[in-house]
Amino acid sequence: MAATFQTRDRVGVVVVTGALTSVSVDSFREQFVGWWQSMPEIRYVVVDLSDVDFLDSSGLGLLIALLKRVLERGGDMKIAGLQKKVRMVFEITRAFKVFDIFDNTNEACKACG
Amino acid sequence: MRTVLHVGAARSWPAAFGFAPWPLVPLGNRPFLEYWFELSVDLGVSEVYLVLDEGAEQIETYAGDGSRWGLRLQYGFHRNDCTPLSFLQRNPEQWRDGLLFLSGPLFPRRLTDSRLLLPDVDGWYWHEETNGSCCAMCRDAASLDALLAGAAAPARTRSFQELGLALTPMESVKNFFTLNLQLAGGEMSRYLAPGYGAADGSCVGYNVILPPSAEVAPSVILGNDCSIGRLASVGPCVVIGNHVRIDRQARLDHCVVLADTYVGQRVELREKIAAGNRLIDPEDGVVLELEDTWLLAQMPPAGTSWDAYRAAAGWAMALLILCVQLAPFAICYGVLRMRGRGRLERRRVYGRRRRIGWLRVFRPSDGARNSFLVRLFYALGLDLTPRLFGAVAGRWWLCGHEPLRAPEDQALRDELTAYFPGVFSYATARNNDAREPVVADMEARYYVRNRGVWEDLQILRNTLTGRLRSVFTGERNL
Repeated sequence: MAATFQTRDRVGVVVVTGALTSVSVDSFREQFVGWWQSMPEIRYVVVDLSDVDFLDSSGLGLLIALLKRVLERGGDMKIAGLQKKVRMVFEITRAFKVFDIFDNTNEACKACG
Repeated sequence: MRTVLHVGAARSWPAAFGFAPWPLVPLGNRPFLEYWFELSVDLGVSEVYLVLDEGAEQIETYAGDGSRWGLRLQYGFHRNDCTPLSFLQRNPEQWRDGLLFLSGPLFPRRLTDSRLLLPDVDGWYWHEETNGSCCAMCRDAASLDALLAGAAAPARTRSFQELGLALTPMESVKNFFTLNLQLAGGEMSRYLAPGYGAADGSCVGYNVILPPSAEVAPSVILGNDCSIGRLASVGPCVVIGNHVRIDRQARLDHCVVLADTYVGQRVELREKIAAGNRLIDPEDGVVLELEDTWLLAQMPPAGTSWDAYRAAAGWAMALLILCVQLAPFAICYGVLRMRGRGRLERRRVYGRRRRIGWLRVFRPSDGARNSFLVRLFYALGLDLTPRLFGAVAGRWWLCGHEPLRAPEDQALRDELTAYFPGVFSYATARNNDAREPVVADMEARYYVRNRGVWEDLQILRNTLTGRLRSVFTGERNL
């Protein structure tokens, strides 16, 4: 799993690559928290999962924990670019009701505006 | 009339949920093949030829000689150089009395609830799919000759719809899903329904645990040995296979859950197929293998890790009870034999590892059933002493299933996922020799699911105390 962090018009874009599972969540959490604390001006975050081929309940739990952290700052977190298999996990865990989900990062960034 | 079921070439789509031969793929929690057996029986056919290919061994193990359905099954094996038609042409005399022929996965979907009747008309019924699956039926010699000659669409061809049958291809995961939902949606009543049928079109199997807070919206098909968690919601249009556990607050509608699957807490299944740890989208056949036991998982065989403890504890307890009972048994049985009040008889039963063995059963003579000595013999559990010898010798468990009779109970023995013939059982605890097949079936399945040291202790306690009480109350029904 690898993650890159960018900023577009005061919206943080996190691009995740690989599988987001119990093996990789700790590493991702540390990277995200470090980046989030270093960017106090950012309130909206888009997590781009278009390169994530698998996600399990640990990965989903982490996304929900990160959403909570973002909401505490008064912002919001959007999810973009779900692959079919990741989308199926979102469907069976009812995560669709928790996150705003967009087809791609551009649409998600626009919704943050 | 004879039926020929030509399985034909293997299909790849059942591999999506771990099935090799498509004839055993479950529709409405019954293998596909059974619907054709049922149709054959309805049409008065008793001889069925199965021409097998992939998974032949599994199918043969499942179907056996066909006596479960009242059929005589014969087997043949598909050869690549032999088409279904050439198979029929090899020995046309066999089909002179009439032929029902199926090649490929065509589901005989019934259009009404009424029983199918074979019309007494000439001509032949014919249905063919573009991929080569076909079904034909004829009764007269001229039609058979035309069929075997490979005549294409003759004027005398009739449609199976005249018989109330819509032959539906099952060539993809989506077909499989749609057919299952049609059955769960109320069509199951047109067939022999598995388990208990309800007025709302639902079918519920044996040993289903359903707490009051769980919601079941009709119509659903629930298999045997299932447990639904608290606050879970199941239905409508849900097919759940055998040995499935739905955890708390899960929500299922318009979905299929195949056998031996665990569905995790709060999981929502809609328009999906769950098979063990696989989640399948029927629309495009995408398979997601989840290595996550919080969401979906393959159910482990129930309670296997405790069986070794049960065996050890049971053996020690059997030895102890035998030591206590040995002298009273010798005295009481000696007196009973001398007075001609009863004797031990041998009964053929299925023993451990499902081998046929002999069980010693005490049989009182006709006039002695209510004598005090016989009642005392039962009350002290001395009729079970010969079985205790077997338990100490390792032939029986101390507590378990009432040994199933051979060969009468073969079907039940084959269906049980585990079998523990024991000295003490729910039957001995009931203190009643009457044996209702449905009760025996339910008890056997319940024990497989709920067996454990605590359950064994309860069986032991209920047997011993119930029998002791009966000597004074005379409750025992001999």
